[in-house]
Amino acid sequence: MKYLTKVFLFLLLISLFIPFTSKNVQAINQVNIYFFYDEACPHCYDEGLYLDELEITYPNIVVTRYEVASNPDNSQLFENVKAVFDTPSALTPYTVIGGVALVGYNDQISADIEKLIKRYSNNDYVDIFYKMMNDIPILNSDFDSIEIQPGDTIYIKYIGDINIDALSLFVAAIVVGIADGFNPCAMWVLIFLITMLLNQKNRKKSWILGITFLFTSALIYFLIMVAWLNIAIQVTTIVWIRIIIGLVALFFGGSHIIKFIKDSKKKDIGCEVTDQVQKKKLIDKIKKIVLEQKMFIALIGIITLAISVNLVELACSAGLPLLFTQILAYHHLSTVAYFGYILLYILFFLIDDLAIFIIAMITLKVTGISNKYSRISTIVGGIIMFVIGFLLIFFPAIIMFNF
Amino acid sequence: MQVIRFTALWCTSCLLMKSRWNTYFSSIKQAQITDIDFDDQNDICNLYKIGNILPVMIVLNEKKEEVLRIVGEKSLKELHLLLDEVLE
Repeated sequence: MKYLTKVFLFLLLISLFIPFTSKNVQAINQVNIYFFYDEACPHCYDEGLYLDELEITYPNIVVTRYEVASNPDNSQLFENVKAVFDTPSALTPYTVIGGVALVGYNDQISADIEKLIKRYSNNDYVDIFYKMMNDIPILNSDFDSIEIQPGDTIYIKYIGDINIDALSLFVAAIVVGIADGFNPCAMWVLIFLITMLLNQKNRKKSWILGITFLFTSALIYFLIMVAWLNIAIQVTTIVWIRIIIGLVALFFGGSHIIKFIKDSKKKDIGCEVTDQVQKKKLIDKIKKIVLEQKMFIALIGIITLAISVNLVELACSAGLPLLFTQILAYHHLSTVAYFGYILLYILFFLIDDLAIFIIAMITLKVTGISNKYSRISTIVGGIIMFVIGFLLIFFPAIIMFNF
Repeated sequence: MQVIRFTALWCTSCLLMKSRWNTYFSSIKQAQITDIDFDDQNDICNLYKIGNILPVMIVLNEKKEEVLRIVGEKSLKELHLLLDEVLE
């Protein structure tokens, strides 16, 4: 197992040096809008003004206007379009964008028009009107709907437009990060370290050592996640790798769920005494670091401690960060966005550790955390891994486009 | 009555229970309390057959016989329920 971990870490280290290749180059499409109107219709007039404004706001849109009341050719064209969209009794104003026909004009329609412009600006789409005009067969799959889809943006008061994918990744980073943060594997090291630091008279040294430990832990986690992301991006298109990752996630998720069920049957909740030999070694190392008089040597010690703890505990905590990075890899984001999501994940991963450390340093008391929370973390993490594994195998589209 | 409490510095449940024990025992003067560190005093832990869950609290009577063992996390209410009768 130790050999496998070393090989895995070596591969991760190598992957850090692979040039980062994010597939974020995406041109803004031209969006064609076909507007059928009647000069005598007040709603048509309002929509016409609105489209004028949109043409200024979105330089990539092209609005083609058809007056249907006075122009027989346009009127016939209007009938043909209505037949294609199966809206024979619709009146003006009538707007066709991509695979959607919008009938009438009100606030909702104006919002829908803008939503479609944003959707088609960034994603490939089928222009049904163009197909009709050029006698290209129209398929059922060419029709689109106005419902919120991956890639769409929603407007949130005081915040503005939020991309649905970005929002779901944002929420995923927070939820998975918190679930991972309550992982009990490395928590005991922090608790022991804080207990030792609190016994020191030199408060400044205690703060520096504690923060260095947490910062180094975050850095190691960041490097591991970036390395994995680098690998994951290269293999996102390989189906069997996706299935293997899904199976591994199902296995680890399932084992977490089984562990939770077994633990629930135990009547006593407390700290489990495991790996005492390894624990003893780490305890001695921490004592040595904290008691070290020379600050520089203590700092080197705490950095190596954080590195070794996080690497050793990788097997225990790797599931969630690696799965989250895998999800990121399926989204075509900019390098900055990838790093941003990973940093957000790490911030929430560390939030409980930070809280424990800061509260302890201010109150001079270490706050105990009930092992109930680590049980909750086990089941939440297990369910997340199981669901992601299931989706990776059976419904990869959900992971790839709309987690 | 003698109370022996087994804890470890790395154990978060022990930290939690220490604060609850302190609250509970602040009003009970007759108990003689001894704290044992799981890592440093392993021989005593072996003597009392401490299992693999911490913290553990053992109550001994005047004849040094074990009359109560509390394992793991317990609420203050549960401590009262378990200990009040024994320590009376």
